[in-house]
Amino acid sequence: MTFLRTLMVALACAAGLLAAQPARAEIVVNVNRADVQPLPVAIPAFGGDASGAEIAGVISANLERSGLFRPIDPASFVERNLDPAVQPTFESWKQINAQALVNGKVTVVDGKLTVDFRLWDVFAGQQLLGLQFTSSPENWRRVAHKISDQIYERLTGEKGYFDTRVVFVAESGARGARTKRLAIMDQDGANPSYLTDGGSIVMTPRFSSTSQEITYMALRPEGSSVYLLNLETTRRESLGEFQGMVFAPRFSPDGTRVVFSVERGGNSDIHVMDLRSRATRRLTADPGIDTSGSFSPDGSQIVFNSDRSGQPQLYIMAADGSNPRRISFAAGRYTTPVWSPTGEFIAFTKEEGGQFHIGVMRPDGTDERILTSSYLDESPTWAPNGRVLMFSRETAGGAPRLWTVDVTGRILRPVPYPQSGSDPAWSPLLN
Amino acid sequence: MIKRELSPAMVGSVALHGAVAAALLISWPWARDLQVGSVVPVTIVSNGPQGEPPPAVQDEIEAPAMTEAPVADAPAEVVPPPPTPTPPTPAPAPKAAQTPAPKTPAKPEKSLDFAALEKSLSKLVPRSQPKASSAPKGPTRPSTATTARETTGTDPAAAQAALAGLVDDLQRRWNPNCAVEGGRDMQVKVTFMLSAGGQVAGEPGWQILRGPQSAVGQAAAERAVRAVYAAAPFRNLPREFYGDRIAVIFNAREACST
Repeated sequence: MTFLRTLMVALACAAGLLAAQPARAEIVVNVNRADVQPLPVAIPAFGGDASGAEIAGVISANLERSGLFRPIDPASFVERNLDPAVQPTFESWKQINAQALVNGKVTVVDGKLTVDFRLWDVFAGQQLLGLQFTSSPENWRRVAHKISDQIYERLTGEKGYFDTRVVFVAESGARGARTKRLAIMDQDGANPSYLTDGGSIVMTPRFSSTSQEITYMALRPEGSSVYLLNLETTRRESLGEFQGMVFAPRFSPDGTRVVFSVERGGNSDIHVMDLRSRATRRLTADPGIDTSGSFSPDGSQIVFNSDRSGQPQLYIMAADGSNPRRISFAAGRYTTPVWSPTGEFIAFTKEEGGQFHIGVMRPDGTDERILTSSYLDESPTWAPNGRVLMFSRETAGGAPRLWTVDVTGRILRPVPYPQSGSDPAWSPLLN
Repeated sequence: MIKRELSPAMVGSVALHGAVAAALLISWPWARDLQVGSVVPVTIVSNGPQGEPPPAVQDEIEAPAMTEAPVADAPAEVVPPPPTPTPPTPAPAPKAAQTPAPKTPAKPEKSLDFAALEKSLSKLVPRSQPKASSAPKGPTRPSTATTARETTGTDPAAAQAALAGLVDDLQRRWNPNCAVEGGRDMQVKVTFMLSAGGQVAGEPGWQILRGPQSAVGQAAAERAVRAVYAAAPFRNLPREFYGDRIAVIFNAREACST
């Protein structure tokens, strides 16, 4: 009986509540157009130590170069001398249409650099990130790159690629007699240094997954060799002696193997070496020219180019050499395939119509996109996030330069390295 | 005396209400807290005052001392002044073929019922001129009409025009990221309430209707929410709209293809 009374009271209350609240419609609208542009972001000079302005400058340049952000001219800033521990006045940043705000403070105490930064959503009025980095003062650029990566990831959802380095072939001298030296720099062209002295022609440097080791080919009058070079210890060793010319080396994703090509009597085939046992295995045995092997991210497959069909096309085979199959069928000559770190694309160089192009396609050969075209675009390499490619571009009669392009082909930028360079290889994110 | 007969539908309705009420009163022994956000991530944002910013997270000490590892016989060279680059003319990259798929909302949506609205509207605050949907893009937003003309009676056309203005405001403030993987497929629903002044009241919610349920999706949703905040206040809506829940569906597939 008591339960029934309670039930009746509850029903009455529920009915009363329903009667008291008028039904509200949900108004649904669709927005199908947008103002698509790089995200306006304000990055004032970080406070504290004098390096704060330089750190903000590196962050600003990184984000701008990605093509996804538009750093706002600091001259338009209304609020100044921001302290990351104090919430900014968002209205001041809305006035200049800043969608995001980055501020920070740098301190150097007892030889230790500390960078405290915040990322704010101006219109939502909330903090999106707050991190503190510490390092030695000479590493301020790396701290700036790491902050750039954090901002990029928080605002796009994709991993950043700024705290990385690029190994490449630095070229100098007249055309036809160029000195080619192995060189390394930050991805933004800073801190360049040479790794070889120019005594031999170097080609196709490639990073290992640890970022601490590279493999490359050196060409001397007596023949060619493939080397492993430890960047930390500067120790260099040869992969060994081979009959014929050895070239186009590349590490497997786990760093335990190197795939390379060997040319004998006009026929080149792809081989793989286990770096622990130094055992070598031949993977292709076709009379055509097979070269430029590149592992899939899981190490189970290798993409390569071969002219076995009459002109260079792209093929994929299992990592043991079995089941080769052609994946490119369009007109033109496809070379230098590189599997993206995410596995979703294969980048390549394509020669067609008297021009060279950088393009990408899915591993099954579909969705081919040509991203760039010029007199000579070649040698693509992937940023570790699989969204940006670096390549070398040469104009008629000019020297090669390094450029970047994103996988949509819309964001094309020269790398801010002031000299001639070719054959770049992008490192994984540094540890 | 009128004798009322209970129809089967009425009996069923009473029984159903009773069952629901009884269920509400029962505390199930296996009841557990709902894990908010376990399926669909939701970001709560607020335009209210905030306290002190949360302290920075101490990141691991990174960036150990780097040595540039030059080979002994290859000293680092002095970089000469950069020559004036002559960047080649970038060739236009062909766009990947995009076939817009038909819109398939995750659930049926209620469209605005103008007949019902007509009945409830006693006064309208129409825009002086409905905005064209293809308004020029740019950071500045044209001022909204503040000297509204009050009308009496019903005017669904004015309500429709006011909603078109709201959409126009939003699309000029929405900046989706079409360049990230999956960004062009995003469809995000943002729901919010409007205060009497046309400000966003409370915390907008968002839901990814199509596209990656990942950090990319979250970033896309936050951009949609940002558009709502940036477009507010919405002053030129019929006052009956204030207090209603407004759901805005942002379609990147269409927006990124234009």
